[in-house]
Amino acid sequence: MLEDEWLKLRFKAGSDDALRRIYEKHRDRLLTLAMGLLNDSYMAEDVLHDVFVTLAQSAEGFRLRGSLKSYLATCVANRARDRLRSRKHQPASLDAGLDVTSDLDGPDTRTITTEQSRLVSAAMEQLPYEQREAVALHLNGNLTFKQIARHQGVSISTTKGRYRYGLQKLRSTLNGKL
Amino acid sequence: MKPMKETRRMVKDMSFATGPEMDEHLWRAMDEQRHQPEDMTPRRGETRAWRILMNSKIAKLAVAAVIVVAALAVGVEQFARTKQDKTHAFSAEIQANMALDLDPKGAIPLRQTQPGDLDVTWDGEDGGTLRIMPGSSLRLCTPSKHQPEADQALLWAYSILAEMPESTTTSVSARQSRFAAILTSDGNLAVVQIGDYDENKARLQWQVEDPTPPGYGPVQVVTLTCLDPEKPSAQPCAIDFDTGQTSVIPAQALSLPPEDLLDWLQQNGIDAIARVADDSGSLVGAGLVVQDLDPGYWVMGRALNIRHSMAGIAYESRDPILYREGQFQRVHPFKTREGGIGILQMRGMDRAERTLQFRYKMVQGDSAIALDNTGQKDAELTPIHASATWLADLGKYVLLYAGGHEDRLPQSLEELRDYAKSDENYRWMVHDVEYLGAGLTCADPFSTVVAYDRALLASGKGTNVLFLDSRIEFVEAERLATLGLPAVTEK
Repeated sequence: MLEDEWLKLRFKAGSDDALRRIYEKHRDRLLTLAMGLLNDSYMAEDVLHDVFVTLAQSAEGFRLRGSLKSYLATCVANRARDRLRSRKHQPASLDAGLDVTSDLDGPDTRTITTEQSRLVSAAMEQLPYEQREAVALHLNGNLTFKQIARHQGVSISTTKGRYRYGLQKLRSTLNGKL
Repeated sequence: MKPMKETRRMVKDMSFATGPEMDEHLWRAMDEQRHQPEDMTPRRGETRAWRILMNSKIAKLAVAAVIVVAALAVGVEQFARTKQDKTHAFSAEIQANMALDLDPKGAIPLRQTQPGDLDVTWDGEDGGTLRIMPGSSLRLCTPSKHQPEADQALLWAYSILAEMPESTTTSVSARQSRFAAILTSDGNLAVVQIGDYDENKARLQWQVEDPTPPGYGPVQVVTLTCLDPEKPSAQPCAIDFDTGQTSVIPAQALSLPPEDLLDWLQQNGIDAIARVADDSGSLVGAGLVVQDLDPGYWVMGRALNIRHSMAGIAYESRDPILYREGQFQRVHPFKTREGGIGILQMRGMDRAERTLQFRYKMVQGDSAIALDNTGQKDAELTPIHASATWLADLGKYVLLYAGGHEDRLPQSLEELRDYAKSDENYRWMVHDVEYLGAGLTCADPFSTVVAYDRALLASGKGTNVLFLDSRIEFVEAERLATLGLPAVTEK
């Protein structure tokens, strides 16, 4: 926590080392969160790219009172939503239906993961987005329900409900697969 | 069925790590962003698929056709761009239960509310309220205290850009504020002004800009011959900062009465003339708004801040910008009649040739490229800049310390050892800084001196001073005594 405070301070002062440390410290957690939200390694990479590039360019005016960890997780969630929204408006490829599991199949040097993680990520994709977001932000992004409720613009009890329903559905999807 | 706890654990244990290829790609992108011109940055929200789609001729034609037809149908106006206003400005009437896309590619009111690329809606709550699309991840901010002037709204929006991703505001009633800053669905920054409104409709004006703040254009170094009305010269003695052109003032113009000469200068776009004043070279502005800053601001003065601070100033100073022999040259932000903003600093004077040299750089909006590295290479100014930066760090450490010690400042710099961001930083503080904060608290007057750079005093031209309100000011030698500080040289 204290390290993050110093990283924020040093990053604002223009330190490349601080930016690199922020990146190294948070990249995997944020990539996991993006995968939980999108289940698409290319889109997740795009999200990570956008979040860190925007962060890199904002050093000068960077003012953050809250936690860096929560801030980055919220940025990822916002970008993931934007990606999903823009994907809805793009023409689908005729080949898209063939890839019913995930585009992570096959050797991929860009992300490193386990088979179980891929299955969980694919199962999360089956959830309605609000539920998926509540589950991923709470369990992968470590956001509190209050923070998630603020992000989603709903009450805490609604967020908790989404989280609970999401987990229940996830349990039945994963049942028998693992 | 797996117990809930087990499902939770599986999600928590889910792990994806970036591979070397992705690391390299992402770090390179960040590095480019930090160290290369800003227009290399991909626009936010621009996906590969979107790029591919928009690159197809059919899509371009289709979008263009839709925009033209719809614009004709609903009367969307696009303001003419001016010399300084390189932004996309629009106006349209939005009606209750309509949705509007603020981005330039489709600034079209649609008569149905639907998610997707649309950004805002209007409804009758509180007499008339603008909302970002329900359920969208757009971000909306409103001025917290004072309403900005119309010409400063964009600057206000840039100033709060870093806070916008954290904003939870989803609507603004016209009674509450006439302005709103919105990060749009295409990742642009839109500044919306609500004009005439009622519960059923509102007239909106908005500007859409790249969220990248403005930067400086290239540094121009100019030498002008000082004007002597008795001996007109064929060498340029005047400059138009907006175009960078220097010019000669003909003898006929010099013989005109003062008011007519001013008209002549205006008609010829001249912003400043070099001349001799008080036995020193100087630039005299013609319709030029000029301010005065510490020498280190040539490096420290960020384009956004300069633009922000100059935008609202209309007072035309009659004081010439002087070349000050043997001193650090002060920095002068300026604004021309045409609205061009830049900063200027004197470089030297040749008394024999009666020439005056200065340098300036103009603020450029619209993803301007920060080409200026001259400041960083300036041997004379770099120590001032570095000292100011590190004193600013010291100011932060002192406040952090005070925050944890009942507003009391540290007794000595040794107490700040754990706060310093590096050993080098700490060593600099101990060796170069004279600390005067012992016994002070945050309740003392803001103008109390907390520390100053002892090493910089060796130049004999002044030094950077840290005040209790964290302000850093370059204080010239003659003013140091008024602050109770020594004038020179002990290191």
